[in-house]
Amino acid sequence: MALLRWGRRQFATDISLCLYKRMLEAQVFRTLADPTRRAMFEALASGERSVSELTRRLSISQPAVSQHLGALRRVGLVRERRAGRFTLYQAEPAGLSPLIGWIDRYRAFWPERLQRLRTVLEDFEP
Amino acid sequence: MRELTRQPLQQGTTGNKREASRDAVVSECELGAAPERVWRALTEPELLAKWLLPNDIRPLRGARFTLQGPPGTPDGRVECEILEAQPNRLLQYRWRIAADGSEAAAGPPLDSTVTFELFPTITGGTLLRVIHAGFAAAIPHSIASQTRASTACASAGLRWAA
Repeated sequence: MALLRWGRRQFATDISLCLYKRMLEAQVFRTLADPTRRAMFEALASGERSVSELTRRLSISQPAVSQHLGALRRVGLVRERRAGRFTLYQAEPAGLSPLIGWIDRYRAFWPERLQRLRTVLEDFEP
Repeated sequence: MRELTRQPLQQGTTGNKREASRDAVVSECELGAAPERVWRALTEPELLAKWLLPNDIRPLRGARFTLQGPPGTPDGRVECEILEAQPNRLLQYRWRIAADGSEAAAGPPLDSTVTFELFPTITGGTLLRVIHAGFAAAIPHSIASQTRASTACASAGLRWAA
C-alpha cells in the first residue's frame, strides 16, 4: 500500500516535471521569438556587455534594454555579474538546452508517426 | 525503425536541400502504397487521424485546420494552414503551436513548417519525405552552428536499411 502511494507520488512528480520542462521550452522559444531579444542574445554571446553598451549597439532606449534583459534572465538565457558600479551581462548558452530538447522530441516524433502511417497504409484498401 | 531516421539521400545536391536540412528535422520512409494512396492518408481527416493526430484537414491552399494532440505529443494542439497542396506530390502546411492560455504561453506563437514530399518509386510505391523546418528561426545564429554540428554527427550514424 505504501509502495503504491509512493508510486503514485512518483508518477505525479514525473508529470509535473514533464509539464515544467514543456513550459520552460515554450518560454525559451517565445522569449527568442522577439527579434530585439534575439539580437541582444547574439550581442551577449560574443562577450560581456553593460546596459549602456547594449543601448548604443541596439539603438533602443535604456528602459527597453532593461526590460528585454529581464525577460532573457528569467528564462536563464542571460547571466549577470557585478563589476564595481556596473552590472555586466553575458549570454548563457546552456539556457538554450530546453529548445534543443524540443527539436529532439520532433526528431523522435516523426519516425514514430511514419511507422504508424506504414501500418495504416497496409491495412487500408481503397 | 532505423530506416526512418536519416538525412535525405540527396542532401547537398542542390542549394535548397542543403539549406533545408540545416534547419530541419527530416524523416524519410519508403512505402509500398502508391502516391495516390499516400496522398489520401495525408489529406483525409479520418485516415490522417489514424497515424498523426485528430484533425479537420482540408487540402486546399489557405485552408486552416487543427491537429489535436493529446498530452504526450510534442506540443498538444497545433494550428495549421495549408501553404501548398499539389495532389500526390507535395503538401506543405504551417505548424503553429497554439497558445494554451497559461502564462508561459503568452507571446507570439511558435511557428514552423511541415512539408511532405511524395516521390513514386519504380516498384509502384512511394518515397515519402517529411521536412519539419523552422527550428533555426528560434535558435540564435551564434549557437545554431554548434547545434547543427552535433545533430549532423548524431544522424551520420543512422543508415538507410531498405
